[in-house]
Amino acid sequence: MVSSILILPILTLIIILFLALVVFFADPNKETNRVFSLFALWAGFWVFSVFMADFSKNLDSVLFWSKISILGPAVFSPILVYLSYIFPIEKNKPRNWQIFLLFLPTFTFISSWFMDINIKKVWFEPWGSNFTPGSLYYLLVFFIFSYFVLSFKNFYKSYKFLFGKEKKQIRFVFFGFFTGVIIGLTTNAILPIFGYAQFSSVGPAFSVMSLAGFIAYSITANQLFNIKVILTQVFVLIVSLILLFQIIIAPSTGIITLNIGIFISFCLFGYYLVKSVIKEVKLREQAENLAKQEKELKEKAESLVHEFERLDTAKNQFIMATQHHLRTPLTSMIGYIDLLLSGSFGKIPLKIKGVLLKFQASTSRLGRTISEFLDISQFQLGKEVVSLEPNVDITPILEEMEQEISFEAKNKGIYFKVEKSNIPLIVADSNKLKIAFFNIADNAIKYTIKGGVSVSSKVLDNKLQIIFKDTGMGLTQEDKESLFTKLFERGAQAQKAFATGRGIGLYLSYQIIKAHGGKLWADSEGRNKGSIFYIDLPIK
Amino acid sequence: MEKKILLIEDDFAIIDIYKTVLETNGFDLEVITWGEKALEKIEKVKDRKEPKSDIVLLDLILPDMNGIEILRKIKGQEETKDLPVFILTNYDSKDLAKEAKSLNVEDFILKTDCTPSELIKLIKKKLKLD
Repeated sequence: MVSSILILPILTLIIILFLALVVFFADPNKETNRVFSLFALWAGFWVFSVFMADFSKNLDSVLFWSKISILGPAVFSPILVYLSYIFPIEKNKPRNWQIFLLFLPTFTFISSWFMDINIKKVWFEPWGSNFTPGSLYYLLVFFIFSYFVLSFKNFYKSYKFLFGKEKKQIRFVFFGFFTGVIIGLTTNAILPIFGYAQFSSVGPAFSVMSLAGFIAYSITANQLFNIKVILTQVFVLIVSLILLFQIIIAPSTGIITLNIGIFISFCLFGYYLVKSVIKEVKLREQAENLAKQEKELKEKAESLVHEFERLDTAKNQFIMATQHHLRTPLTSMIGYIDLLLSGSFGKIPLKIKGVLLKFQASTSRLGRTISEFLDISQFQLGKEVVSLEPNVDITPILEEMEQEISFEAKNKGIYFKVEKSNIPLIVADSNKLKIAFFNIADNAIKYTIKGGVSVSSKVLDNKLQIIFKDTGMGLTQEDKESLFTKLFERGAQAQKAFATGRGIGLYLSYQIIKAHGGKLWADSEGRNKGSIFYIDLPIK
Repeated sequence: MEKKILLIEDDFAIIDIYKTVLETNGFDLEVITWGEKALEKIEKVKDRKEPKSDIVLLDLILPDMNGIEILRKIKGQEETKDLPVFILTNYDSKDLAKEAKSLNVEDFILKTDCTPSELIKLIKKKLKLD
């Protein structure tokens, strides 16, 4: 049976060497992994030399190992500092001369380890060996302390400016430092006060092992710094260490075999346990990520809606302000022409009256155009344009249309006839319906050179049908398809329509009739065979 | 006796036009160009310090307020709520038209759609003149 005080350093050594191997083979191409393995190997060498010094049976041997034990810290301290520059990211990797400077004290220790300024004297105590340190030894303690502080400072600097996974990685290194200090304080300061000095030789080994363990975990664990996973891993590790310990202290071969069996089974079980916990955590992280993405998309959509609403309001305000500003001077023109024509400023010559009438026709057309553009914009914005009222008599609209359009038709040398008898009352917005009728009539006049336009109406099962028949240039099949809607659905065509004026009036008429629950369509036997425009309006 | 018309309007060309046509047709016209002044006037009518008009022609976009506020004041007090109000505006807004109609106006007219002669016809029809 091996004494348990001997077991501790052996176990520490095994664990440290194990960490060196695992981290190295996790990714031998990475400098971080190689540097860490070097650190762990030298730490292992140090634990080994301290162990040898403690348990050697003769003083020469004790002196030799005691002296040699300064080599471990002399090498692994600068390696730790170097690691603090390249892990978790290579932020400012030291240059070669800086590395040389970093290792300069190490060369001093290596070249003088055998001298008496290192260890003056060794002797035996009841619990092991003891020694009188020389000046080199004190220098070493100072050296270790300052290098550890330097590496901690480097890690802390990275910690402050990194985030996410790297930040978590450094947090693990901090845990390592922290537990290392706690263990060291416990075994070498607190326990000796209570008379348990025998742990002081293994305490520093434990400290270094814990630091190495945390750094190793931090290097190898990919993005999974989940507490659940870590606890499971720690649990499996502790139990397997206990089981390993059981194998070493087992009294007989039978029990050793049994314990090995238990150890192997537990290792397998632990492996699958950790694996399943990692899987579960990963799935949950995925779900969380999805939820986060969904939330972000939702927020984006909401902000787009807000942006859209803002643009919609701005557009609306612009349209409303524009039409108001256009109408104000137009009102003066319309007003003064009316005053002139009605003789408010005295009698006017016939010739000038003719000019004023043309002027009046233009201003009222301009007024209608402004209304039309406003209505079109409102239709396109999906706003309510038409306000329907019951029992509307459309005869006055037809009369007004006849009067005004006849004037234009006469100028052009064509006829414009409106037949308006027995027209039932309908549900309508008379202002908007007037715009629709005027536009269809205007359009018919525009495309008719000889002959003329006649408007008639009839009642067809709950529908009032108004028919505009012209002897004009007619429509092709293509015209018929694009007359009312498609012009506006195609960007380029719509621009053409705005430029020539064609299409706007018909588009608007179509929308107005549609808003009345009615229908507007056109028919023609072809080019130069005239066309017929039909308006169906429901009677209620 | 001359019928009294109260015109609340801030555009001087339009005031000039309506003044010409209304006075030619024998109406007694009072013009107010400021929303606050219009509210004061209505307050005075309520307190019988000033005579009541027969018709109010009200613009909606005034320098200091929205004409709807004035309309609310007129229609909101017993002494003036039966006053016939014509909204005469160039602000072609469905929402404002709806609101004005709900406050019981005679009509919501776009100035560009109504010549001075047509306005006279409307007023005479309302006052049952001719």
